[in-house]
Amino acid sequence: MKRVLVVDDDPAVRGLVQVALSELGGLTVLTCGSGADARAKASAFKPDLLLLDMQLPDTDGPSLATCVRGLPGLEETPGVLLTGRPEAARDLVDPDGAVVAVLAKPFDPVGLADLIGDIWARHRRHIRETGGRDAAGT
Amino acid sequence: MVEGEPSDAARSAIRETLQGFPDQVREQIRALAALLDGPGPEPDEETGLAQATAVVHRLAGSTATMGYPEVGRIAGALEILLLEVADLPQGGLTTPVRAQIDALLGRLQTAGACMTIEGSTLLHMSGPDASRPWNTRPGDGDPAHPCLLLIGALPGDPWSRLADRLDAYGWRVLTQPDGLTADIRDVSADPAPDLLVIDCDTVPNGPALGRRLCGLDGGVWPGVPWYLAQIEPGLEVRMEAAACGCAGVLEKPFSAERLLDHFADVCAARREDTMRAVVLDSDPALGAVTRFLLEGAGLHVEHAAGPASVLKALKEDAADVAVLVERAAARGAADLAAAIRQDPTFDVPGLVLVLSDDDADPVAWSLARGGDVVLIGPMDPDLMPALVAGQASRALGRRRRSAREGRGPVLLANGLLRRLDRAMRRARTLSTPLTVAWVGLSGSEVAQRSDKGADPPGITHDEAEAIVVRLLGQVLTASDDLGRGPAAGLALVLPSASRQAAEGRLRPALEAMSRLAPGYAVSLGLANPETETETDDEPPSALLGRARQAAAPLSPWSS
Repeated sequence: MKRVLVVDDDPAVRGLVQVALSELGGLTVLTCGSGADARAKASAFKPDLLLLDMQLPDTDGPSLATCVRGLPGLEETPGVLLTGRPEAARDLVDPDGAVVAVLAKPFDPVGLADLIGDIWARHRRHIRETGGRDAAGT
Repeated sequence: MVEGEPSDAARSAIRETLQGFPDQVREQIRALAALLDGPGPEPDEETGLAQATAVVHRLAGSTATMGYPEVGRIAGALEILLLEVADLPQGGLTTPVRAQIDALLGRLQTAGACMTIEGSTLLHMSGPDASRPWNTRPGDGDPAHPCLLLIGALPGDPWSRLADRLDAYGWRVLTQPDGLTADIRDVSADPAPDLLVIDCDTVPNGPALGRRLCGLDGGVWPGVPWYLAQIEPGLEVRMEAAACGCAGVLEKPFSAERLLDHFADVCAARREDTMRAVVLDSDPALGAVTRFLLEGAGLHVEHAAGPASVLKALKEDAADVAVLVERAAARGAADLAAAIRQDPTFDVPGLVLVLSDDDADPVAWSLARGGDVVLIGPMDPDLMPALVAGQASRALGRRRRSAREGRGPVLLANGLLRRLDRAMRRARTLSTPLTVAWVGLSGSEVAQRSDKGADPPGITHDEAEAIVVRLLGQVLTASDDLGRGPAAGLALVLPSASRQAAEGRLRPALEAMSRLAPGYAVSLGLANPETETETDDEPPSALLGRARQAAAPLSPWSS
């Protein structure tokens, strides 16, 4: 996994996630502050994983994940929610759906890249075992 | 550098992201105060409330994320209150709610004023609240069939016998032969097991793997108890295990019973360590804030729908402390506190009474009404949870001191009689069912050997009784008691259980003895105070005696 699309309306949180994933984790990160911005940039960026705030000004994280997966070439892109109330979001997790994991705020910036790397690897394995469209992985 | 702290480079990068953040927060708090400034509900209140909720939502999220959990906690409490207020009908912004909003806003302003870059926890440690996936937390499995995951269990070795034995106890056993990290990633996609055992003889990185899977600091199944197993565990592995948060190192081979006993100890310790509060508050918005603050203080909170729910929780010993909030719009909490305190059937450890009226005299109310702690609203977000936790902590200590045999769940005879006496008085007072069960074990190691030969090896009467205790332990609820009964048997006190319900729980559990301890027979007898005697003064020992007299052998031996 190399490319992560981060969507959070809070610039401070976006900055911290950028540092955690890019500077500390060595990943390529694109940050967006709204669902519309993310939808406009997702196709060109081609993310391997979406890291989404639960509540956004113009949409919510699960809806945005579903929307991005509707774009050509991004059908298998997993979405991970980042929320301060993870318990309330647990029911949204579906290994075959748009949201494959929920992470709690506050997060550990030093370990965030490894954590979502594990989630992504697990998702790839799940796709291979269940015969997903992109079974060869990326 | 302390383990868990970010490196200098990481710290520098994080510090850079914090530049200007405290000032931004203070500006947001000022904007929030302006939005919330006003005497009460106005025609444009809805718009202002929505804007304020959006601001405080961002404050709660960003401050907690950026390493200011205390600011985030207060903002979170205020956000919950505003969200609840938004759901109220027009004009629902009552005086107590308005006062609570002002109180939380004031605390938020104070906390915001104290924020500094160096005060962020991000610079100091990778905290215990580090993010973790929530799709795989403990307890996702079927509670009736707990799950053990064995990592490194090779086919055909003694693990299969262990698995068979655990199966007889109703456990599901999953095995993962390989402990390689890549495979573990796959395992971790599954729901959390109830218990994890790693065979260190086949998994060389066992301690590190256990920590990665079950560690509280970022494990994929945080909090799941885990054990290491090794043929001859040395000091080195034990020290490593202790450092990794492992619950213990088991010397192979070990029995299923030994593993279950370890697991029972862990479960018991968790039950004993949880402080439980029941909250009665007729104001749903303020009640939600109370719950948020108490849960933040580590209490398990049950919100009572009314006085009857409070009484039910106390009757079932499901609460260490009751928080009763007196509202002008719905009086009664103070009277309920007085009734509970004056009723000898309620052994309530802590009563906290919150009075939302400014004109109340707390000292007089405390003396007259029986509250252990009396607070005047609006609630202080620090003082209230601290006082409630203090009351609950005292009760927790009392629970821990109950007399039991060794480390197990069996109460000594006198302890059980005391519990039964209290349960009988409560059942009479509240007209609720109560069932007492007597369980007897007959047979012997000699008898087993004569019937079955020496394979499997015979087990002693004490060992067979320990199996009975384990089986019963799996079906007991938090309000049930198990102890020594008459005639060398065991006795159970099952509050709120009818005879039929009690038999439905106990009989299937005990019937597993036919597989676990062949050669031993179990008898079960049940008795109820309310259906078999009209007298109010039947002593507990007499009720136990009637259960003993009613005992009959269980199927399938008898059928």
